Amino acid sequence: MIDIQISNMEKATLVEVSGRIDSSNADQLGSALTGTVSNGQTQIVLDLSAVEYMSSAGLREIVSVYRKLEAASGDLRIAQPSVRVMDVLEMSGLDTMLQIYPTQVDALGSD
Amino acid sequence: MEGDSAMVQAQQLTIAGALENVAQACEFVLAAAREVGLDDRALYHCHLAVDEACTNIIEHGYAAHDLDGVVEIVCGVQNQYFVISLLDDGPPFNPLEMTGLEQDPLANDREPGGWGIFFIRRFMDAVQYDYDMNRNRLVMHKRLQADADFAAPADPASDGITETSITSQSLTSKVWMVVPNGRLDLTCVADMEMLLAKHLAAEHNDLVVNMAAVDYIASAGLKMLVGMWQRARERNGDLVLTTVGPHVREVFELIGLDLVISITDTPDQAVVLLAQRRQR
Repeated sequence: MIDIQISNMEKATLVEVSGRIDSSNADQLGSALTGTVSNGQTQIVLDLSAVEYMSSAGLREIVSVYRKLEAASGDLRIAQPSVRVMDVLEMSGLDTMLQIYPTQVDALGSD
Repeated sequence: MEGDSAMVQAQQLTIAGALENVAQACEFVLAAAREVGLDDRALYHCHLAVDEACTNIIEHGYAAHDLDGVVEIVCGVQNQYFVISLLDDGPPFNPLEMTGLEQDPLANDREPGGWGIFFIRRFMDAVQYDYDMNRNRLVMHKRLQADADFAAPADPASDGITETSITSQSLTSKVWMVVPNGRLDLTCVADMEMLLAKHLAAEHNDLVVNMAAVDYIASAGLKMLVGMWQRARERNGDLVLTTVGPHVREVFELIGLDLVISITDTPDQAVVLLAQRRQR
Protein backbone atom coordinates (compact mmCIF):
# COMPACT_ATOMS: atom_id res chain seq x y z
CA MET A 1 0.00 0.00 0.00
CA ILE A 2 2.69 2.47 -0.95
CA ASP A 3 2.93 4.76 -3.91
CA ILE A 4 6.29 5.85 -5.29
CA GLN A 5 6.82 8.73 -7.73
CA ILE A 6 10.21 9.34 -9.28
CA SER A 7 11.00 12.61 -11.04
CA ASN A 8 14.28 13.85 -12.43
CA MET A 9 14.92 17.37 -11.27
CA GLU A 10 17.71 19.73 -12.19
CA LYS A 11 20.10 18.83 -9.41
CA ALA A 12 18.75 15.57 -8.10
CA THR A 13 16.31 12.73 -8.53
CA LEU A 14 13.23 13.19 -6.42
CA VAL A 15 11.65 10.06 -4.96
CA GLU A 16 8.30 10.75 -3.31
CA VAL A 17 6.72 8.00 -1.24
CA SER A 18 3.28 7.90 0.28
CA GLY A 19 1.45 5.38 2.42
CA ARG A 20 2.61 2.91 5.04
CA ILE A 21 5.99 1.25 4.66
CA ASP A 22 6.21 -2.12 6.38
CA SER A 23 7.72 -5.55 5.80
CA SER A 24 5.08 -6.44 3.22
CA ASN A 25 6.03 -3.63 0.83
CA ALA A 26 9.46 -2.23 1.81
CA ASP A 27 11.07 -4.15 -1.07
CA GLN A 28 9.16 -1.90 -3.50
CA LEU A 29 10.90 1.11 -2.00
CA GLY A 30 14.19 -0.77 -2.11
CA SER A 31 13.93 -1.63 -5.78
CA ALA A 32 12.80 1.90 -6.73
CA LEU A 33 15.82 3.38 -4.98
CA THR A 34 18.23 0.74 -6.25
CA GLY A 35 16.92 1.21 -9.79
CA THR A 36 17.57 4.93 -9.56
CA VAL A 37 21.14 4.37 -8.43
CA SER A 38 21.70 1.74 -11.14
CA ASN A 39 20.62 4.30 -13.72
CA GLY A 40 23.55 6.41 -12.63
CA GLN A 41 21.51 8.91 -10.65
CA THR A 42 23.45 9.40 -7.46
CA GLN A 43 21.88 12.56 -6.05
CA ILE A 44 18.65 11.39 -4.47
CA VAL A 45 16.08 13.32 -2.48
CA LEU A 46 13.68 11.03 -0.65
CA ASP A 47 10.50 12.86 0.29
CA LEU A 48 8.80 11.11 3.22
CA SER A 49 6.22 13.76 4.05
CA ALA A 50 3.33 11.51 3.02
CA VAL A 51 4.56 8.42 4.85
CA GLU A 52 2.37 8.01 7.90
CA TYR A 53 4.02 4.84 9.14
CA MET A 54 7.38 3.19 8.63
CA SER A 55 8.73 0.10 10.33
CA SER A 56 12.34 -1.06 10.46
CA ALA A 57 11.85 -2.74 7.09
CA GLY A 58 11.75 0.74 5.56
CA LEU A 59 14.82 1.86 7.48
CA ARG A 60 16.73 -1.14 6.19
CA GLU A 61 16.04 -0.08 2.60
CA ILE A 62 17.08 3.50 3.32
CA VAL A 63 20.31 2.37 4.98
CA SER A 64 21.00 0.04 2.09
CA VAL A 65 20.67 2.78 -0.55
CA TYR A 66 22.63 5.17 1.68
CA ARG A 67 25.53 2.72 1.54
CA LYS A 68 25.28 2.29 -2.23
CA LEU A 69 25.31 6.04 -2.71
CA GLU A 70 28.23 6.43 -0.34
CA ALA A 71 30.19 3.93 -2.42
CA ALA A 72 29.23 5.81 -5.59
CA SER A 73 30.16 9.21 -4.09
CA GLY A 74 26.50 10.12 -4.29
CA ASP A 75 24.20 11.76 -1.82
CA LEU A 76 20.93 10.86 -0.10
CA ARG A 77 18.77 13.59 1.41
CA ILE A 78 15.56 13.08 3.30
CA ALA A 79 12.90 15.74 2.83
CA GLN A 80 10.26 16.61 5.41
CA PRO A 81 9.74 13.31 7.16
CA SER A 82 6.43 13.18 9.00
CA VAL A 83 6.63 13.33 12.78
CA ARG A 84 6.07 9.57 13.06
CA VAL A 85 8.84 8.79 10.60
CA MET A 86 11.12 11.26 12.38
CA ASP A 87 10.42 9.40 15.61
CA VAL A 88 11.75 6.21 14.06
CA LEU A 89 14.75 7.97 12.52
CA GLU A 90 15.62 9.44 15.92
CA MET A 91 15.13 6.24 17.86
CA SER A 92 17.41 4.41 15.48
CA GLY A 93 20.04 7.15 15.59
CA LEU A 94 19.84 7.57 11.82
CA ASP A 95 18.90 11.23 12.28
CA THR A 96 22.51 11.91 13.18
CA MET A 97 23.81 10.40 9.95
CA LEU A 98 21.25 11.22 7.32
CA GLN A 99 20.79 14.70 5.92
CA ILE A 100 17.27 15.75 6.77
CA TYR A 101 15.62 18.89 5.39
CA PRO A 102 12.43 20.65 6.51
CA THR A 103 11.06 21.01 2.96
CA GLN A 104 11.45 19.41 -0.43
CA VAL A 105 12.71 22.72 -1.83
CA ASP A 106 15.47 22.90 0.78
CA ALA A 107 16.53 19.34 0.02
CA LEU A 108 16.51 19.80 -3.75
CA GLY A 109 18.21 23.16 -3.68
CA SER A 110 21.06 22.41 -1.30
CA ASP A 111 24.50 21.58 -2.67
CA MET B 1 3.36 -11.75 35.09
CA GLU B 2 0.21 -13.85 35.58
CA GLY B 3 0.94 -13.98 39.29
CA ASP B 4 0.47 -10.22 39.81
CA SER B 5 -3.11 -9.69 38.84
CA ALA B 6 -5.41 -10.95 36.17
CA MET B 7 -5.45 -9.40 32.75
CA VAL B 8 -8.67 -7.54 32.11
CA GLN B 9 -10.36 -6.71 28.82
CA ALA B 10 -8.31 -9.52 27.28
CA GLN B 11 -8.79 -10.19 23.58
CA GLN B 12 -7.25 -12.82 21.37
CA LEU B 13 -6.53 -13.21 17.66
CA THR B 14 -4.69 -15.91 15.72
CA ILE B 15 -3.21 -15.23 12.30
CA ALA B 16 -1.54 -17.59 9.86
CA GLY B 17 2.18 -16.89 9.78
CA ALA B 18 2.43 -14.89 6.56
CA LEU B 19 3.59 -11.29 6.12
CA GLU B 20 0.35 -10.23 4.47
CA ASN B 21 -1.49 -10.99 7.73
CA VAL B 22 0.68 -8.76 9.89
CA ALA B 23 -1.39 -5.67 9.10
CA GLN B 24 -4.45 -7.47 10.47
CA ALA B 25 -2.61 -8.25 13.71
CA CYS B 26 -1.61 -4.59 14.00
CA GLU B 27 -5.17 -3.38 13.44
CA PHE B 28 -6.43 -5.79 16.08
CA VAL B 29 -3.96 -4.54 18.68
CA LEU B 30 -4.53 -0.89 17.75
CA ALA B 31 -8.28 -1.25 18.22
CA ALA B 32 -7.76 -2.78 21.67
CA ALA B 33 -5.19 -0.12 22.61
CA ARG B 34 -7.51 2.66 21.50
CA GLU B 35 -10.28 1.21 23.66
CA VAL B 36 -8.14 1.46 26.78
CA GLY B 37 -7.24 5.06 25.98
CA LEU B 38 -3.63 5.04 24.80
CA ASP B 39 -2.69 8.31 23.09
CA ASP B 40 -1.64 8.62 19.44
CA ARG B 41 2.06 8.31 20.05
CA ALA B 42 1.63 5.25 22.27
CA LEU B 43 -0.62 3.71 19.62
CA TYR B 44 2.09 4.26 17.07
CA HIS B 45 4.62 2.57 19.34
CA CYS B 46 2.34 -0.45 19.83
CA HIS B 47 1.79 -0.60 16.07
CA LEU B 48 5.53 -0.70 15.45
CA ALA B 49 6.17 -3.24 18.22
CA VAL B 50 3.53 -5.69 16.96
CA ASP B 51 4.59 -5.20 13.34
CA GLU B 52 8.26 -5.80 14.15
CA ALA B 53 7.61 -8.77 16.45
CA CYS B 54 5.23 -10.54 14.04
CA THR B 55 7.58 -9.90 11.12
CA ASN B 56 10.47 -11.43 13.07
CA ILE B 57 8.44 -14.50 13.99
CA ILE B 58 7.26 -15.04 10.42
CA GLU B 59 10.58 -14.33 8.69
CA HIS B 60 13.02 -15.86 11.14
CA GLY B 61 10.91 -18.31 13.11
CA TYR B 62 8.85 -19.85 10.33
CA ALA B 63 10.00 -18.92 6.79
CA ALA B 64 13.73 -19.36 7.50
CA HIS B 65 13.04 -22.93 8.68
CA ASP B 66 10.47 -23.74 5.99
CA LEU B 67 7.79 -24.03 8.62
CA ASP B 68 4.14 -23.10 8.51
CA GLY B 69 2.61 -21.88 11.70
CA VAL B 70 0.41 -19.35 13.39
CA VAL B 71 0.96 -16.31 15.57
CA GLU B 72 -1.40 -15.89 18.49
CA ILE B 73 -1.87 -12.37 19.77
CA VAL B 74 -3.38 -11.68 23.18
CA CYS B 75 -3.79 -8.18 24.54
CA GLY B 76 -5.39 -6.58 27.53
CA VAL B 77 -4.78 -4.48 30.60
CA GLN B 78 -2.78 -5.57 33.60
CA ASN B 79 -2.06 -3.21 36.49
CA GLN B 80 -1.17 0.08 34.83
CA TYR B 81 -0.08 -1.44 31.55
CA PHE B 82 -1.48 -2.36 28.18
CA VAL B 83 -0.01 -5.81 27.62
CA ILE B 84 0.54 -7.51 24.27
CA SER B 85 1.58 -11.18 24.19
CA LEU B 86 2.70 -12.93 21.03
CA LEU B 87 2.90 -16.71 20.93
CA ASP B 88 4.37 -18.86 18.17
CA ASP B 89 5.40 -22.46 17.53
CA GLY B 90 8.73 -21.75 15.83
CA PRO B 91 12.04 -23.07 17.19
CA PRO B 92 12.90 -21.66 20.64
CA PHE B 93 14.37 -18.23 20.11
CA ASN B 94 14.87 -15.40 22.57
CA PRO B 95 15.01 -12.13 20.61
CA LEU B 96 16.01 -10.22 23.74
CA GLU B 97 19.43 -11.88 23.61
CA MET B 98 20.30 -10.00 20.45
CA THR B 99 22.56 -7.09 21.30
CA GLY B 100 25.02 -4.66 19.82
CA LEU B 101 22.61 -2.31 18.10
CA GLU B 102 22.90 0.70 20.34
CA GLN B 103 26.50 1.34 19.34
CA ASP B 104 26.09 1.71 15.60
CA PRO B 105 22.77 1.92 13.83
CA LEU B 106 24.57 1.58 10.50
CA ALA B 107 26.50 -1.55 11.47
CA ASN B 108 27.00 -3.73 8.44
CA ASP B 109 26.61 -7.09 10.06
CA ARG B 110 23.30 -6.61 11.78
CA GLU B 111 21.71 -9.88 12.80
CA PRO B 112 18.46 -10.64 11.03
CA GLY B 113 15.61 -8.95 12.79
CA GLY B 114 17.95 -6.84 14.88
CA TRP B 115 16.33 -3.52 14.07
CA GLY B 116 12.93 -4.83 14.98
CA ILE B 117 13.77 -5.98 18.46
CA PHE B 118 15.72 -2.77 19.01
CA PHE B 119 12.57 -0.77 18.26
CA ILE B 120 10.47 -2.98 20.48
CA ARG B 121 12.80 -2.39 23.41
CA ARG B 122 12.97 1.34 22.83
CA PHE B 123 9.26 1.91 22.26
CA MET B 124 7.75 -0.39 24.86
CA ASP B 125 8.14 0.06 28.60
CA ALA B 126 8.97 -3.57 29.39
CA VAL B 127 9.51 -6.69 27.32
CA GLN B 128 9.80 -10.29 28.52
CA TYR B 129 10.41 -13.58 26.79
CA ASP B 130 9.89 -17.17 27.84
CA TYR B 131 9.57 -20.57 26.21
CA ASP B 132 6.76 -22.56 27.70
CA MET B 133 4.69 -25.54 26.54
CA ASN B 134 6.72 -25.66 23.31
CA ARG B 135 5.86 -22.09 22.41
CA ASN B 136 7.81 -18.84 22.21
CA ARG B 137 6.12 -16.10 24.15
CA LEU B 138 7.03 -12.44 23.89
CA VAL B 139 5.20 -10.15 26.31
CA MET B 140 5.34 -6.39 25.73
CA HIS B 141 4.09 -3.74 28.14
CA LYS B 142 3.06 -0.18 27.39
CA ARG B 143 2.26 2.11 30.30
CA LEU B 144 -1.32 3.36 30.16
CA GLN B 145 -0.54 6.89 31.25
CA ALA B 146 2.40 8.35 29.40
CA ASP B 147 3.87 11.01 31.63
CA ALA B 148 1.84 11.99 34.64
CA ASP B 149 3.63 15.31 34.93
CA PHE B 150 2.36 16.59 31.63
CA ALA B 151 -1.27 17.10 30.79
CA ALA B 152 -2.65 14.89 28.09
CA PRO B 153 -3.48 16.69 24.87
CA ALA B 154 -7.01 17.97 24.91
CA ASP B 155 -9.55 15.99 22.97
CA PRO B 156 -10.03 18.14 19.87
CA ALA B 157 -13.65 17.02 19.61
CA SER B 158 -14.59 18.42 23.00
CA ASP B 159 -14.00 22.13 22.93
CA GLY B 160 -17.34 22.96 24.48
CA ILE B 161 -16.33 24.57 27.75
CA THR B 162 -12.97 26.21 27.21
CA GLU B 163 -11.06 28.03 29.75
CA THR B 164 -7.51 28.85 28.84
CA SER B 165 -5.87 25.49 28.74
CA ILE B 166 -2.33 24.62 27.83
CA THR B 167 -1.47 21.11 26.78
CA SER B 168 1.72 19.41 25.82
CA GLN B 169 2.57 16.27 23.94
CA SER B 170 5.66 14.54 22.69
CA LEU B 171 6.09 14.76 18.93
CA THR B 172 9.09 12.45 18.82
CA SER B 173 11.36 10.91 21.41
CA LYS B 174 13.31 14.17 21.60
CA VAL B 175 10.82 16.88 20.78
CA TRP B 176 7.93 18.14 22.90
CA MET B 177 5.19 20.43 21.72
CA VAL B 178 3.34 22.86 23.95
CA VAL B 179 -0.03 24.05 22.72
CA PRO B 180 -1.46 27.19 24.30
CA ASN B 181 -5.11 27.72 23.64
CA GLY B 182 -6.65 31.13 23.14
CA ARG B 183 -5.27 34.47 24.33
CA LEU B 184 -1.70 34.43 25.51
CA ASP B 185 -2.11 37.16 28.09
CA LEU B 186 -1.09 37.64 31.70
CA THR B 187 -3.48 35.06 33.12
CA CYS B 188 -2.04 32.13 31.24
CA VAL B 189 1.54 33.27 30.76
CA ALA B 190 2.42 32.03 34.24
CA ASP B 191 0.86 28.62 33.57
CA MET B 192 2.67 28.32 30.31
CA GLU B 193 5.97 29.39 31.82
CA MET B 194 5.56 26.74 34.49
CA LEU B 195 4.82 24.04 31.93
CA LEU B 196 7.80 24.97 29.77
CA ALA B 197 10.04 25.09 32.85
CA LYS B 198 8.84 21.62 33.79
CA HIS B 199 9.81 20.34 30.35
CA LEU B 200 13.26 21.90 30.62
CA ALA B 201 13.68 20.38 34.08
CA ALA B 202 12.88 16.99 32.55
CA GLU B 203 15.63 17.52 29.95
CA HIS B 204 13.12 18.16 27.21
CA ASN B 205 15.28 20.86 25.67
CA ASP B 206 13.87 20.80 22.15
CA LEU B 207 10.51 22.51 22.38
CA VAL B 208 7.90 23.46 19.85
CA VAL B 209 5.23 25.99 20.71
CA ASN B 210 2.19 25.53 18.51
CA MET B 211 0.55 28.94 18.15
CA ALA B 212 -2.33 27.78 15.95
CA ALA B 213 -4.98 28.56 18.55
CA VAL B 214 -3.41 31.80 19.79
CA ASP B 215 -5.12 34.84 18.30
CA TYR B 216 -3.71 37.40 20.69
CA ILE B 217 -0.40 37.81 22.44
CA ALA B 218 0.37 40.35 25.15
CA SER B 219 3.84 41.68 25.90
CA ALA B 220 4.02 39.37 28.90
CA GLY B 221 3.58 36.47 26.49
CA LEU B 222 6.35 37.73 24.23
CA LYS B 223 8.69 38.18 27.17
CA MET B 224 7.96 34.70 28.44
CA LEU B 225 8.61 33.12 25.01
CA VAL B 226 11.94 34.89 24.67
CA GLY B 227 12.91 33.87 28.21
CA MET B 228 12.07 30.23 27.52
CA TRP B 229 13.87 30.33 24.19
CA GLN B 230 16.97 31.61 25.99
CA ARG B 231 16.78 28.90 28.62
CA ALA B 232 16.38 26.19 25.97
CA ARG B 233 19.39 27.55 24.07
CA GLU B 234 21.48 27.60 27.24
CA ARG B 235 20.78 23.89 27.50
CA ASN B 236 21.84 23.27 23.91
CA GLY B 237 18.22 22.94 22.93
CA ASP B 238 15.97 25.28 21.07
CA LEU B 239 12.44 26.62 21.08
CA VAL B 240 10.67 26.86 17.75
CA LEU B 241 7.29 28.41 17.07
CA THR B 242 4.94 26.83 14.60
CA THR B 243 1.62 27.56 12.87
CA VAL B 244 1.62 31.20 13.89
CA GLY B 245 -1.55 33.04 12.89
CA PRO B 246 -1.38 36.29 10.90
CA HIS B 247 -2.18 38.63 13.83
CA VAL B 248 0.41 37.14 16.11
CA ARG B 249 2.91 36.96 13.27
CA GLU B 250 2.46 40.66 12.66
CA VAL B 251 3.40 41.37 16.26
CA PHE B 252 6.50 39.16 15.99
CA GLU B 253 7.61 40.90 12.83
CA LEU B 254 6.95 44.32 14.29
CA ILE B 255 9.39 43.77 17.13
CA GLY B 256 11.77 41.60 15.09
CA LEU B 257 11.18 38.49 17.15
CA ASP B 258 10.87 36.46 13.95
CA LEU B 259 14.57 37.14 13.33
CA VAL B 260 15.50 35.59 16.67
CA ILE B 261 13.13 32.69 17.21
CA SER B 262 12.58 30.25 14.35
CA ILE B 263 9.05 30.01 13.02
CA THR B 264 7.88 27.12 10.85
CA ASP B 265 4.65 26.52 8.98
CA THR B 266 3.96 23.06 10.42
CA PRO B 267 4.96 21.05 13.51
CA ASP B 268 6.61 18.52 11.17
CA GLN B 269 8.93 21.20 9.83
CA ALA B 270 9.74 22.29 13.38
CA VAL B 271 10.76 18.73 14.27
CA VAL B 272 13.09 18.54 11.28
CA LEU B 273 14.56 21.96 12.01
CA LEU B 274 15.32 20.93 15.59
CA ALA B 275 16.97 17.74 14.34
CA GLN B 276 19.19 19.81 12.04
CA ARG B 277 20.18 22.04 14.94
CA ARG B 278 21.17 19.02 17.00
CA GLN B 279 23.51 17.85 14.26
CA ARG B 280 25.51 21.03 14.39
